[in-house]
Amino acid sequence: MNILKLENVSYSYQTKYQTIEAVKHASFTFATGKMYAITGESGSGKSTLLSLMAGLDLPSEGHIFVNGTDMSSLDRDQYRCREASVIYQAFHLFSLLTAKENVMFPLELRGIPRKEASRQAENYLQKAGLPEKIYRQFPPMMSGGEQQRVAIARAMAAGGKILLADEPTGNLDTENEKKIVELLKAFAHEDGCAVIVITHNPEVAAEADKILRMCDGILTQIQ
Amino acid sequence: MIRNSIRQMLRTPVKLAAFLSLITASSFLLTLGLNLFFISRETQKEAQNSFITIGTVEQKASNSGREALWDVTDKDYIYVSRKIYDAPISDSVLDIEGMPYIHKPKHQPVYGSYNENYIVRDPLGEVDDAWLGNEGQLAIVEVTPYEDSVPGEPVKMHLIRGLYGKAITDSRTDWFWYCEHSNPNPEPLYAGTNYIMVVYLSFGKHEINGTMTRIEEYRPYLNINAIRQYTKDGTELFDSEAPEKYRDIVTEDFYETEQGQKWLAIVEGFRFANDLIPVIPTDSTHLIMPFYDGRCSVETGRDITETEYKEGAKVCLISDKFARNNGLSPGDTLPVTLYSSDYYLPSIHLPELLVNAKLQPYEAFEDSTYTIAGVYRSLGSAHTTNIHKNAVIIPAASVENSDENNIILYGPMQPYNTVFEIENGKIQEFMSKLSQSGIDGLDIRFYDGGYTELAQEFKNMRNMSVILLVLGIITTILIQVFFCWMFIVKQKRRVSIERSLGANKRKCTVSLLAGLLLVAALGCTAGSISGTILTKYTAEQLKETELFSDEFSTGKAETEPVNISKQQIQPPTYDLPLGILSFTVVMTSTMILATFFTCRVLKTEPLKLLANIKYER
Repeated sequence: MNILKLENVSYSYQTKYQTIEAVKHASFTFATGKMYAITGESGSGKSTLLSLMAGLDLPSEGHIFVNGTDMSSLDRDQYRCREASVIYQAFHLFSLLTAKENVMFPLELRGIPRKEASRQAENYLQKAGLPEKIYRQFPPMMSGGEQQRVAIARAMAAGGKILLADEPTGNLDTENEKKIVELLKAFAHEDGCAVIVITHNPEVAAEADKILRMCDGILTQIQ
Repeated sequence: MIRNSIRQMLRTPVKLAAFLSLITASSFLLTLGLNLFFISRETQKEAQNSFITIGTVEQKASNSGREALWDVTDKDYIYVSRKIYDAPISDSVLDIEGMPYIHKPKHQPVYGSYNENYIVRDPLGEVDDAWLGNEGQLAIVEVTPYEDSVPGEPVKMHLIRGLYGKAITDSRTDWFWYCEHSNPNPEPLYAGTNYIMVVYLSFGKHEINGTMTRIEEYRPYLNINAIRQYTKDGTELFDSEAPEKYRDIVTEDFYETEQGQKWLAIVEGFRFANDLIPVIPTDSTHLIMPFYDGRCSVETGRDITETEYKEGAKVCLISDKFARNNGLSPGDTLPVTLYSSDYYLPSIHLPELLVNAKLQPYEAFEDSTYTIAGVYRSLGSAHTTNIHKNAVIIPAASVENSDENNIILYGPMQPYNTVFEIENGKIQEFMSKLSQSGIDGLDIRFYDGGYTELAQEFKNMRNMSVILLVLGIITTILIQVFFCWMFIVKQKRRVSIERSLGANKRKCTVSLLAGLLLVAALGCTAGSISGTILTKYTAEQLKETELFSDEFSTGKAETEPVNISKQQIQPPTYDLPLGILSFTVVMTSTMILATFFTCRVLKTEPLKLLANIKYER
C-alpha cells in the first residue's frame, strides 16, 4: 500500500554566499512492508530529503503526499507523532533520560498513561534485543549499537507506519550493523512499515527491497 | 513533559545547585535592597515630620565698652563692661529670596496685658501688698531731709508719706538714709523742702561717727526725663541727652500742677505694671525655645494648631500656675488687653512702670477675649526656662492692632525674641544663601534635634540600600540570562529531538520552562523569605538603636543643662509586601527572559535545528 508519495519535490536554502538547491524535482512513491535504501555522496541532498519526508520542513516546490494527503495541509507535529519516526546516525537520544524513559517519551506524547507507557517501552526494548539492565542506563553509558537499538525501539514505540533512518549504522561495527539492519528489515516486513534508510554502505543498501540514488539533488531508482 | 523537564533538570545537580543558590542569593539581595531602600525612605519621611529645625538670630555687639559709675564709698569711678550695639538691624534683612523658611524670622515683642481680675501672684505663697514695688525694694516717697545734704554723703530723710511701695511705708520708722551713691555731683537737698522721688533699697558703706559702717540706704531710681518709649523701628521717643531728673519739689497744690499729675501717673504706672502678665505672640509654639527643647509642654488641653496660628485665631496657651491661681482650664476664656510691647527683654522681665515718654499712662492697643486651648507646664524655674510663670502664648496674627504707640523697650534681635524655622536638612543651604547675601552683624544658631547627624545616617543607609538593590537587579539579570542560555539556548538538541518526535511548540515550551521556573520559584521563595527575615531583624535592631538624642545637635551642647528631649523614630516595616514584590519581580523577569529565549529557540524549523546540531557535532 502506497503511503508516501514525492511529487516533483525541490528544496533550496540560502547560505551566506549562495542559494543551495539540495533537492531537485524528486518524485517517488513509497509503500508499506518494504525497505528502501537511498544512497549517494555526501552533500547530495539525502538527509535533506529525509527531513522533508519527516515533515521537519516543507518543500520549496512540489508536494509530499502522506496517505494521499498533501503534507502542507497536515499538522506536521501530529504527523511525526503518529505517522513517521526518524532514526539518526547520531542516535539523538535524550542524554538525561534512561533508555526506558527515552522510549516512553513518544508514548507519553501520544497520551498513553505512564504505567502503560512503561510496560510498552519495556516490550519495545526487549524487541530491539536489549537486555533489561540497559533499561535504567543513560545513553552516554551505552555502546553505539545499544544506543541505536534504543533509538529504533523509540521509533517503534512511536507506532507510525513510516520509519526514516539516516545512516543508522554509520557509527556501528559490522556485528551491530547486521543486527540493526535485521531489526529494520523486520520492522518493514513483519510490522508492515515503510522503512526508508539513507546509507553510504552498499552492504546495508543491498539488504533493501529497493535502492534509490541521490546525485546533486536528483533522485533516481537504480534497483 | 513537565515530569521529563523536571527530571532532566534534577539530573544536572551541579547546574541545578548553582542556579538555585544564585537565584536565591539574587532574590535575597533584591529583597534586602528593596526593604532597606523603603525603610530608609520612610524613616526619613517620618523623621522629616518628627524633627524641627529652628534658628535663632542675635545681633552681634559692634563693640564692648566700659561704663564709668561713680562710687561714693571709694570716691572714685568703677567701670563696668557692657555691649555696645549699632542701630538695631531689622528682621526684614533675612527675608532673602529662596530661603527654605517655614516660619520667617520675626523680631517678636513681649506684650503686657492687664486686667483687674487677673490673679498674678500665688495667693497662698505671697503677701500681695508687701510685694508691691519691685519685690519691696522700690518706693515712691515724699520726703524732707532733716538737714541740708552734704554731697557724697548719706542724708537722713524724714518720710512724709509713701505713695507706692508698702515695704517702706509699713516699716516702723519714719526716716531712712538716702544717698546718691552713683552721682559724682549730686544737687544738694535742703532741710524743710519736700521732695518726691522714686527710691530703691540698697546697702552702702559710709563713714559714720568716724567708722566705716554698712548701712541700709535708699538711692534715687527713676530719671523722669528718660522714661523710655520707642517707635516701631526702634527710634527713641525720649530725649536721652536731657539732664537727669530724679526728683521734684513738692509744694502746695503740687499734684494739681502738670508736673504733679505726671508724678501721679508714675505712681499709677508702677501699680499698673505690678499686675501685668506677659503675652508672647508667636507663629508656632515650637518657636519658643523652652517649648522646642521640651522644658515646657502642653499638659492639659491641646496645642494651638498651625491653622489657628496662620489664621490668627483668638486662642491661647496659659501656664499651669496662672491657670491654678485663676481657676482656668482649657475651653475657658481669658480677656487679653494689651498695654505694652517690649522688643528687648524676655518675658521674665516684666516692665515695672507703665507710662510713656511724656509721663502719661498708656492706652490699650488691643482688647480681645481668647479661648484657652491648653495649659502648659514648665520644667524648672522661670530663670531656667526664660519664660514668665504667668506667660500667655497667643498667635502673633491674632493681634489686629499695631503696637507702635506702646513700645516701652526696643533692642537688637536676641535669641529669645527672634526665632525662625526652616526645612529640615537645609542649614547648609541657609548659611550659603546668607553668606551670598552679604549680610553681616548677625549671629545665627540652629537647633535641629540631631537631624543633621541623622540625615547623614539616612543618606548612608539609602546609599547602601541602593547599592544592594542595583547589585541585586544586576545579579538577578545576569543569573537569569546565564541560566536561560544554559537551560534553554543550549537545549537546542533536546528541542530538536522533541520536535522530531512530534512534540509541538507548546509542549516544547512546557518542557523547557517547567523545570527552570520551578527551580526559580523555589530560589525566589527562599531568597525572599531569608531577605525578609534579615530585614525584620535589621528593623528590630534599628528600633532598639534609633533613639536619637538631640544633646549633640548643632549648638545644643552649648546651652545650659536641660532635660534633653529624645526623638524616637519607628522605622516602618514593609517586609512582607516587599518580599512578595521581590519574588514577583524575579519570577516575572525570569518568565519574560525564559519565554524570550524559548521563542527564539522554537522559531527555528526543526530541520534547521537538526542541521545545526549536525554542524555543531
